[in-house]
Parts: sequence; structure tokens; C-alpha cells
Amino acid sequence: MKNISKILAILSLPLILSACGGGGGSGGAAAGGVGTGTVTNCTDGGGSTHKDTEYDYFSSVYHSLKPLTAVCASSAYARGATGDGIQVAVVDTGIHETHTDINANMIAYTNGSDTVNSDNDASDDHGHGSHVAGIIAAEHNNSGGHGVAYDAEIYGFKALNASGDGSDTTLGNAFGLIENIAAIDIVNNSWGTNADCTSASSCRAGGTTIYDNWEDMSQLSTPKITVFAAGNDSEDQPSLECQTMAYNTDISAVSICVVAVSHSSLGKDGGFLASFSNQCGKAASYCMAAPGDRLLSLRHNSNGYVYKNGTSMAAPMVSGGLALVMQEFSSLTPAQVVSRLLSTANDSGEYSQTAIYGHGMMNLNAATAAVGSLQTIGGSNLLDDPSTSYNDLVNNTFTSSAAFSNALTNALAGQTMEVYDSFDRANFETNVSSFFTSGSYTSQNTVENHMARLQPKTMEKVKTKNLYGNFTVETDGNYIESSMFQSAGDFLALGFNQSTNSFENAVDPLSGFFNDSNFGNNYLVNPYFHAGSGQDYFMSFNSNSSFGMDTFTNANGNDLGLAFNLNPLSSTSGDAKNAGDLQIVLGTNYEQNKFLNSSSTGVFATGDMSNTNFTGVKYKKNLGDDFTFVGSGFAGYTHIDKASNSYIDKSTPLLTSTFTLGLAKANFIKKNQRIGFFINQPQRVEDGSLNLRVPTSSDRGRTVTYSNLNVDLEPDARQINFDIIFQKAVTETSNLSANLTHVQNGDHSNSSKNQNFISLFYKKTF
Amino acid sequence: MLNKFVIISSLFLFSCSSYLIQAEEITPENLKCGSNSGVAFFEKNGSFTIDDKDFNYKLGLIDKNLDKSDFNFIYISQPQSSGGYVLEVEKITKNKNKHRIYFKENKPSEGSRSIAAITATYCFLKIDNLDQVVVFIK
Repeated sequence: MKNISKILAILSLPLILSACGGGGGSGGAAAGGVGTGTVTNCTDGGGSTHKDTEYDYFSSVYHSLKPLTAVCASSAYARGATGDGIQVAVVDTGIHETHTDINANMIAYTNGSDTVNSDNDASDDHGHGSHVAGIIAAEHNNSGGHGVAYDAEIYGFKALNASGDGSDTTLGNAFGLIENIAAIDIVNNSWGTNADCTSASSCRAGGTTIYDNWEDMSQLSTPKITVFAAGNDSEDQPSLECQTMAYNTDISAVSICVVAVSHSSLGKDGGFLASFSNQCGKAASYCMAAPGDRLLSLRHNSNGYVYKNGTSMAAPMVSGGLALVMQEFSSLTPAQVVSRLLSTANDSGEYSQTAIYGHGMMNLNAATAAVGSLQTIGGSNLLDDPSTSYNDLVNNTFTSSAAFSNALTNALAGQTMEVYDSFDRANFETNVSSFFTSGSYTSQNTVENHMARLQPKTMEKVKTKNLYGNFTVETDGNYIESSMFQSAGDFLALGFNQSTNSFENAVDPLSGFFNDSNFGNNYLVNPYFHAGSGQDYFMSFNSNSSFGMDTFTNANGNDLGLAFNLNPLSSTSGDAKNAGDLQIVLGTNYEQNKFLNSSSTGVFATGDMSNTNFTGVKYKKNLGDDFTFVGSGFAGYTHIDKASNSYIDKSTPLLTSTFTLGLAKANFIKKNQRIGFFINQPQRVEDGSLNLRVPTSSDRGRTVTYSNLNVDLEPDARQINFDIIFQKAVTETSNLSANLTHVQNGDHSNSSKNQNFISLFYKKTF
Repeated sequence: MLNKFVIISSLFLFSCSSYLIQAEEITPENLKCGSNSGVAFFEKNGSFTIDDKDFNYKLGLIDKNLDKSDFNFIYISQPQSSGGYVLEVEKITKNKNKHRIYFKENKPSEGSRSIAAITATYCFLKIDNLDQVVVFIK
């Protein structure tokens, strides 16, 4: 009996304890967001204009992908960033590689990619890895949404078991495999260790294989970017792996720790740190935030989708963002890609709390836009070479002559070149044509220009005459606007700011009627002296009626022109005189930083000594008492002087021409009435080309590659102007003018519409 | 003295949980345990019997190919901050019509590396003649 009693007593104890004890529940994720500030959203640069041919990012499909909206991903897409060409390794529970929304972006499993089971099959037996991979690179196929970098490629590694657990060996070995795959750019790690470390050695002690291989990956000549989730313990310090970034500069240069926010439209936390998320803590300098609450992505055991929460989901948002930046800017090193994404994060309002959000909320609009000023490169093809020079875009211009602007426009259409962000020399693509402005002949014929020429002048004109000749001075207040000295006997003329017309009228009786500036076109004058810059000086010397010399200089452009005029038919002989007036012009014109009056600056600059040799013929013959025939033609041969560091690399000489034929009749119908008709071709390039050598690509070695653009400068058409001019002297102080102009192929372009101008002016002098 | 203790203990047993003494420990016909981080899976957690409208839905979230007739009870734990948690059945007892299921959720070992997603553990069971169920978890 005693024995039975003892047995009963012993057996009863555990039964007593178990029967009366209750089951305990486990605690859930801690609640309570930390945010108290104002949540500011990134500004999406998309707008209704950001569309591509396949997909409207502002469609309902895009808006259903709230995490992408929260980071302004559509701006990156509109700039062409989709992750194409970027490889991302997902170290996780494996991947459902045949899921129809990611299979096209999957790289075949590499040898040993399942470090849990030591085989080559990194399939997912949990679901976490598939979800993570989908957030990065689910396909853009209008099915179930798409990943942040929907054209990126995914390498799958199974280093976490079916419970979502891994070891230093399984995870570290995966890093070892990745280290040897050169193609992998980014390594996503939506896992971590809930522990602290206070030094590099103590961090390493948390997992030596992981640490050593991670460090090795970070020290490669082209290091791999690693992204880690901060963890979900609602603590003020992130995971051990994130803390490691604070103690190893090789690792931190190419690593990002990610905390999770609940975007306002996704969860109750309204854009604040998700209640479960750890804070950036000591890893703040290498940390940022991304949506991690209720993200929809791939299931692992069907072609369906599932919502998941965690910094696990925020980390692949950032991995995808890195892929977009990396693709967009081929000139950035991996460390610079990391720096750009961190630097461009939204750090205003709530996100200014560094200890919580690190650099702030990921902003893919800002990350793919210029941070500093965009600049052209010169002097070197190495982005970081001290001899490399940079020039803000506004300092690089080319204003082309209408003689070839049409050809230039055609040749540069669709041509692009690279420019670089002063922040980090990120490469941006821009149209070469954006630097070029075209001159235009046809704009000379606008009514506005006609009226401008006829505006009553406020200037005072003073004419004096003395023993030496005539002086004409036009003043505006105390300022001399123009002046001219014409010697007695017309053998010398000096002019300042006189138009070429008035200059020639003063000394050359050939011009007369047709050079009346009221009609706008200086058809008969030398086209190679580019007057009109505001400080033009002329001098003409005529030894006698058969020989003369003109000089011209442009103070602004430092042009210098010289022309010899031969008048072989000029003679006192009556027979010769009847042959008409013939002037042969031979000359040269040097232009500083210009050619053919095409000015340029910066990387499109030309040298100090571009030179045009020209020859011209002017002819006038009176046909009877009333009719006068006038003709002129000029041809030039231009050598372009190459400036150092200029994108204008070399050129062939440019052959140019211009001509005018005209017939005038005095006493038309009535006395004191004149009528004229003439045909003119403005200056046009007949042959020649230049070679533009522009930067077109750059690599992560920070080397720029230039490409040649051969630009044929001959326009595709020939502009011809037809003018009819009528003048009637109404009184001694007033006259009536009428002008009819027809412009064919304006600016030498066959795409120009023909233009017709009619003007009627009455001008009275008081 | 010993006799007194035996008598007192026996009285206590009969007064507090006398039926336990008669409880039968049983083995489930089918058992499948794991962890899942799908929000829809663990937003409603706890016990689900075959009569619950969410029963088939929860099964399908784990594997749509699961044969529904293979299970008649689901237990989903409260969500945890990471993966690495493992739920196991310690024992199941039956007394009259009441089943008592004793679960044990094992935390990840200290310093272990786990997925950083909110995760819940679960077990699907099939128990013969299941009627009333009381769940204990530690």
C-alpha cells in the first residue's frame, strides 16, 4: 500500500501541474509607429507626358502598384530605366523560377546555388524568396503588376531553409558563390540577425563566413552592392548585418540597410515607419526607407500573388531602385550608384529624422534626375582625370549660319551625346541638336523687320562738310551710333557702325537703287563681311576708279576682312563705259571663334583663325535711258580652324555661293516712279562637311567613349527670293514704296513652305 | 504521513482534473506544419475547424493542391517578426469528446539568421472524431 501510495503521489505531480496550467500565447509584432512629423511624398516627374509605347505609367495598373507610386518609379521608367542589363542575386529561400511573371527574367540556377541542400536547385520551398524576387523584377507584362526593375535579371540562391532560417555556412557560402560571378551587380538580402555588435571584430564574430565573403565581394575591382533588411523587431537599432556597415568602410561603401514604411494608401501608419520595422540606428549613414507594408508579389507554389509585410519587402524595393540607377548611369561605379540613391532620398519632414530613416525615403525621380548641373566634358576622356574640364550646358552653343543650318538640322536629327552631372559625373543623354541654334534668312522678311527698319529714329544726324570731305554722325544722346567720313573726291571712306549698304553707297555708285535698305535684303553687297554686331568698322580706299580696297573689322568678333576691288571696265573711254560697270572683288576674311558668321562657344568652339577666301563679281549696265541691269555673284572657300578640346574635330573646306540678278526701270509709267525686279540666292554651302566627335557612352571604369558624327553641310534645297520693288516720289520729302517678295525653299530647306510678303510704306520726312 | 499525502493528492486530482487521468494520448492521422508570411494567411489567426468558413481558404493559401479531406483542424500562431520559428505538436490528448492539443513554438536560436518578413507558424491536422478542441501553446 505504501508503494502504491508513493507511485500515485509521484505520478500525480505532473498531472497536477499540467492540468491546472494554462497555455501561453506568443507575442506578435510590436505596435506603434514612431512618426510624429509631416510625411512628404516625392514629386513624380511623370505627369501625363510620361508614357512609353507599351505602357502608360499613369494608368490604373500603375496606380494599383502603390509602392511604386510612393517612390516615384514612373519617372525613372519614363527616362528609360527599367533595370535592363542589371543582374540581381536574391539570397533567400529560393525562387519559384517558373512563375509566369518572372520566368523570363530568371537566370538559370548556377552550380551549388542551393547551399541549404548542397545542390543546384534553388527552388523555393517557403515563399519568401519568390516574393522578394518579384518585388525586384516581376515582369512588365500587364499581369499582376511588375517589379521595381522589371527588366532586371535574377540569380536565385537558396540559403534559407523552409522555415526561413539560415546559417553562417549556408548564407556565407552563397556569398562565396556570388563573389565569383562577375555578372552579378546587386545582392539582395531580406534576412538578418537580431543581435548587436560594437566593432568590426564583434560584427565578424556574428558570422565569419558571411562577414569574410561579404567583405571580399565589397573589395572586388567592381564590387557588388549589397542590400540588407533592417529587421522587424521594432527596435532602435537594425540587424547585426546593418550594424556591420558602421564598422567596415569597404562594406559600407557599397551597402545599404533598409527600414520599412507603411505608405499612406497601403497601411494604417500613413507613410511613417512601419510599426514592426527597426530603425536605422547606428547604420543611419548607410540606411534609407522604402515601402514594406502589404506589398503584393509572387507566390512560390502557383502563378498567383500574395501580400507580405516586413523590411524583407522594403529591401528589394531598394535593390530594384539600385538596378534602375545602375542601368540609367553606366558611368557610375557601384559605390557611386549607392551614393546617388542615398543622396537623392526624400529627407524632408518626417524623413528628416536620421536615426530612424537614415537618408530618408527612396525617391526614384530624384535618383534618375540631375543632382547638380549638367555639363559637357572636355580635355580628357577620363571622368575623374584632373585634366578633364567641364562646362555647364549653357556655355556650349553653336549658332549656325543660314548658309548651312538646314543641313546641320537634318544631320543632327536624332543624334545624341552624353553630358555629365556635376554631382557625380552620372551620364545623361541629350540631343546634340539641343546645343545648336539656326540662323534664318526668311526671318528677315517679316513685317516686323520691315517696320523696324522704318521706325522713326530718335537719333540726331549731323552732316558737315569741309575741305576734306563729308562727315556724318548719328547720335543718340551723348552716344555716337554711327559715323562716316567720305573724302572729297570719294577716294576714301571711313565708317563706324554703318551698314555695309551705306558704306558701299558712299563710295560705290554701283549699288544705288538696289541697296536701299528699306527693302531689307543686302543682295548686292559682300556677304563675307558680317556686319551688324554693333561695333563694325569699315574703310574703303579707292586709288582711282579702277582700283579700290575695302577693309572691315568687327570689334566684337575680332573679325578682320580685306578685299581688293578691280574695276576693269572703268575708263574715261566712252566705248568702255558703254560696256558697263564691272567690279571684281578678291578678298579674305578671318573670323575669331566663328566661321561664316556661325558663332560657337564651349565644346563647339572653333579656333581664332577660321578663314574664308572669297571672290565676287558685280556688274551694272544701263540699257537705254531707263533700264538698268545689275548682277552680282560671290563664292567663298572657308577653312575652319579647330579649337583645342572642341567637339568640332575636323572639317573639309566649305564652298559657298550667293548671287543676285536684277533689272530696274526708272520713270515707270510716270516720272519719279521706279520699279525693280530681282532674283537672289542667299549665301549657301555648296560643298563641305565637318566632323563632330561627341561623347556617346561611358563605363564604370569612368572612361568616356567618343563617336564621330560626319555632318554634310550642304542644305537639301536652294533658297531663291523673287522681289518686285516699286517706289514713287510723292513729294520732295515723302515717298511711297511697295514691295512684293516670294521666298522659295526658305533657309535652303525643301521642307519650308513658300513665303509671300507684301508691304506698302509711306514715308515722310519732317 | 505518506498515506495522508496520497489521499490528499488523490482528492485533488479528482476535484481538479480527474478526467486527465483518463485522457487518451492520440496521434493525428495527418500533420503538416510550417511557417508562412502571407498577410492573408495570418491576419486571422488561431484555431480553425473544418466548419469555419476560412478553413479551406487557409489551406489553399499554403498549397492549393492540398486535399481538403486530409485535414480537419488548423492552428495558426500569432505573427512573429521574422522567420525561423517552428511550430510542433507536443502531444494530443482526448478525453471524452474534448481534444487537447499541445503546441510548442520554437524561436530561432540566438544569433540565427532569418527572413525579415512578418511570419506566422501553422499546423494542419487531421484527428479522428474531432469534436471539441482546446489548444495549448508554449
